[in-house]
Amino acid sequence: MIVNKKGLYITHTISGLIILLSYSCTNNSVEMGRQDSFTLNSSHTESTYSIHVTLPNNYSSSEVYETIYTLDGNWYFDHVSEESFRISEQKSKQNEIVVGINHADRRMIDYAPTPTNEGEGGAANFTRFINEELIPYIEEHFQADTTRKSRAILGHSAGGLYAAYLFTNQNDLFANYFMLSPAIWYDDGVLLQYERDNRSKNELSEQTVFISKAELEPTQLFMNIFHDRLEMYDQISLGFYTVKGKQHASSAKPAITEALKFYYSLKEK
Amino acid sequence: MKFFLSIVLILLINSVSYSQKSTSIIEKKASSIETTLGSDIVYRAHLSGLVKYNIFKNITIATQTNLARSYKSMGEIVSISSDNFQSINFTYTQRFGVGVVIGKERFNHTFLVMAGPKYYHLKETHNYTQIEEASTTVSTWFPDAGFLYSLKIGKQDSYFTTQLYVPFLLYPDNLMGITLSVGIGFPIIK
Repeated sequence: MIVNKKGLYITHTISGLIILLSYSCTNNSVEMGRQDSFTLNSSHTESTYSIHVTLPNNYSSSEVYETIYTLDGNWYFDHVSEESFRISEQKSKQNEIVVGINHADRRMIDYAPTPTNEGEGGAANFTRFINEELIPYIEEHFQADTTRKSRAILGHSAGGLYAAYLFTNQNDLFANYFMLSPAIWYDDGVLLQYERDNRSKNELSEQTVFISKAELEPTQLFMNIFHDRLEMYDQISLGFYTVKGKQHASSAKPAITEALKFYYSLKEK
Repeated sequence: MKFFLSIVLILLINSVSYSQKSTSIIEKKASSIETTLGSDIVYRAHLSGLVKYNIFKNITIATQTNLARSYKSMGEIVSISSDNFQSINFTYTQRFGVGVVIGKERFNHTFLVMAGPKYYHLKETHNYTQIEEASTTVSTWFPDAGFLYSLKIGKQDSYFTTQLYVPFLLYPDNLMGITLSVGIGFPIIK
């Protein structure tokens, strides 16, 4: 096949320019507060976690701030920090301390309530790390409010499963739960059993729960059932959102944005 | 979005440049229909019909009808008991596209950029005695776009073909949209 070399040269040059133009970026930087990073060793999980913290941009040592703990921090901490700042500014609400917990390649150990082919059932030990090591560290070193109602936990997929586990089995730690595409199907829906077992105790607590699912993901039945169960709770502010046209993983960031919009809309200040 | 539009533009521009002063045997207008059977990389079987028509030298337009259905239960993929939970999903996609054919009449490669609407249907049921809800159903339309490669081997009234479809936006969870299929093609107009 003989082709026009001059024509090829021109088209390849145009192609390269198109590629360069397509990668031109707009400035989307967000002016947030100071950020801090450190590692924490856990005696309960025998593992070391990288922790990242974003402080509100008007952070003051004379104030106390509410806190959002983000699971899979290595994936979602930046997005949660940026969206928390942006949405709180939009709604004229006080921004919060955002804490990101990197999963250290242990997510299917730490986030799994029971041992199965997919996970190793380390959620109980990870909860001890959160309750006895991480939260005390955050509240000692930063101006974090120490009450249950001031703490939020955010997780997607296995992280959402763990957030649901905290809701059912350790409801005294957090009052605000963002369960994004939570893996409620895990171990034949063991979370549904936990919810039923602990319902009489948990339904008396005032709390906020936001559940999201992707329109195109499987195992939605379990998420629907979990949501329907929580609708029976008297003291709950419940949000349920479907990310249209998205599958499981690609729904995470849009779901985070919607979760934070829901959360800040409910806050008084 | 800019990146994918740029890919489309690049393919169109390059297909035009390759079609100029080409002495490929594929210069005459011709059309064919290819029926293939294949699978994605996880759990859906795909049945496709691809109609191609050469409009100018090596430039071809095409339309593809694709039907896909899950053939594995969720219990074979994750820790859910297949005896208690059933999940079926199927899709119908109608794609339209344009591209370039490279090679000879007996052995050639077709590269197409395809796009079109996709219908998705999911139905899930369970019979766990300790769980109250019985089923859920999702039905929705959404856009689908990607690259389609088709290999033709043969010159007779029928020929062997294999196709590979790769969606745009592979990351993070469109890897399941990659489909490999094989089948038979028939010339319609020579």
